[in-house]
Amino acid sequence: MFLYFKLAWRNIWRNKRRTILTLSMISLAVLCAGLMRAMQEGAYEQMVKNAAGMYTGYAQIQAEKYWDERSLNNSFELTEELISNTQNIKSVEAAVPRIESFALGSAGTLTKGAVVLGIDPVKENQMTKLSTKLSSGDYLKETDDAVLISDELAEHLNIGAGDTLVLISQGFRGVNAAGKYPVKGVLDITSSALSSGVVYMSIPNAQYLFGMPDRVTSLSLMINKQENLNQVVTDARKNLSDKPLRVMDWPEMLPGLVQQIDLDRQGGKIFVYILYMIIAFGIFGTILMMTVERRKEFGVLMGIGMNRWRMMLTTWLESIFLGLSGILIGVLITYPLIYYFHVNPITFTGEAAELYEKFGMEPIIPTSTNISVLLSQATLILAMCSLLSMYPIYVLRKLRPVDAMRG
Amino acid sequence: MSLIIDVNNIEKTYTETAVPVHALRGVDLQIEAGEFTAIVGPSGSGKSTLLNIIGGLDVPSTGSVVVNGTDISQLNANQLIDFRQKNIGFVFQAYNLIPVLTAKENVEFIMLLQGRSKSERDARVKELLEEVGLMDKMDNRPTQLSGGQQQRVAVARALASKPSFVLADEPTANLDSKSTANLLDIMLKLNQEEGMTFVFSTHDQRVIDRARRVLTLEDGKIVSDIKTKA
Repeated sequence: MFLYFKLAWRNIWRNKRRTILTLSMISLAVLCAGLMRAMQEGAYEQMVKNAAGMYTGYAQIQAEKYWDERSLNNSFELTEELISNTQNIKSVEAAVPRIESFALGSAGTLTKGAVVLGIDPVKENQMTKLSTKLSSGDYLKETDDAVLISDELAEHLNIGAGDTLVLISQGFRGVNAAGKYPVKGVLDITSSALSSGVVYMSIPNAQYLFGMPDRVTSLSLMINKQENLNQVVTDARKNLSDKPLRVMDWPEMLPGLVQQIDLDRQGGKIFVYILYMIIAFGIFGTILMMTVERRKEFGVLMGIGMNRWRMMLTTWLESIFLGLSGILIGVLITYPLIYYFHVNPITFTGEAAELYEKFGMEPIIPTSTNISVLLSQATLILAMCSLLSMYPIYVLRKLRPVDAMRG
Repeated sequence: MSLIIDVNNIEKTYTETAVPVHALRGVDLQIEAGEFTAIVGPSGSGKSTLLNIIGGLDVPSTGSVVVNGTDISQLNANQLIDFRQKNIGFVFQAYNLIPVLTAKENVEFIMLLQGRSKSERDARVKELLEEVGLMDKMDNRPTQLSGGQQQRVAVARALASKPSFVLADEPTANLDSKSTANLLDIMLKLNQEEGMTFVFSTHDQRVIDRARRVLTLEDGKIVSDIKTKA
């Protein structure tokens, strides 16, 4: 076998200038496609990080029926065991409990419907950096018998920090839910998905309001890296297999975001495919020349007793070596660049930055260091080289040594 | 001596051209082990065609070619490749060494295809390169060798697998007098000392003068078969 590797490797270096040109072309394709895809995937990761970080978490533990019918009746009991088991799953950085319901908020003669979120103020702040959105007042403490409200609700009810908000709703299993809370702070979340009216209170307060001691509607999981999501979800599902709970990952909870990413990703892939199609012609040119100028040699090799399969293997290896060498050079150039832009992400300025920040997102596009981005380029090029090597294989299949030697 | 090549009434007609070309017209030929035979004749007389057919590189239109007891006209293309590898050594006019391999690797090539052990290969390569006087050039690639040296490597390559016979198609056509004499000395030595059978096609009087049997082809027919004492 070593003979064929040696022959193939030396054959591609017969015409050094041509091979260097071909390798440069492949490396450039890896650089362009790899960098572009890394930026694209990095942007998606950032989008997911923003979306998951702002609200859902990368995964959530819920009661089995909660996602289909978001009622407090589909809440579940949050035990210490459940929290510690969840936090002990590898790659889980935090497990953040929440209660989510609706209530009618009232101040004086004014009323407005609002989402009521029972949160763990410390964990919630770690996950969503909620305290940074305060426009007035102070952030919530776990022991506070007070609430934070969105600026839109504050404006509608004409109240602010230090005023009182009355909430009226229906609690767990139909109990009446009503409470009077001092407003501790107002949050600037005008442009978020929860903009119209939001009330944040501590979990014990929400449990008391809705008559659901020890219960929550979800436990959101924050993880260290997105690529560990599947493993985390699998482990969490395994942990909960004997409980009437389910684990949902962010793609299940945010299908719109998944579709948006998929659509954009396809656009990027089309560009990459066009780029590779152009590169394929270049590689084919090299393979074609290597085949045509060695036709007589193929005849001689066949004449002295090298069978067709061995020659086909050698020509296939030549194409693969050509592709692999180009990929290797391309990766060696591209990966450091990707890493640089991961550590020093492209930062938006001006209005674009303001828009990002308004949505609570960082105005940056870090590149994705996920190695699969480059691996997929490598796979594509190798598949392309393999396919292009069908030409010399076809020629060898048809070749008659006597004709080839005659030239 | 045993018969190793038995050509029976072969004809070869090329029909690819507008007018069919009759390259061979009923050739009968028997060659025994240990012969040093030259096939001569003017251009277009059918020498190369006859050599190609004996070597299994081409097939006759009619007739049969029996080599070492095997009727090679009955073998398919892949069987012919294996047959050539095991039974026939080739020396070509243009040397046709593999340019990316060194002299040593070129000689070793067929033995690698045959799966011979490294020790066996090394011993045979050393023996043959010593025989052709190129031990000091074993690590040179063909482009670093003169025409005569390349042809000597080609002879060593042809003999590496210990074939039944060597077919040489105008082996001296591109060589100067000194290289030709040197190559012929080597081949005659191999013929006399190892009993290797050589069949040449040639125009070269220097080769003809040293051949022990000279077959003359004209218009696809053998017109004379002279055994000499050269």
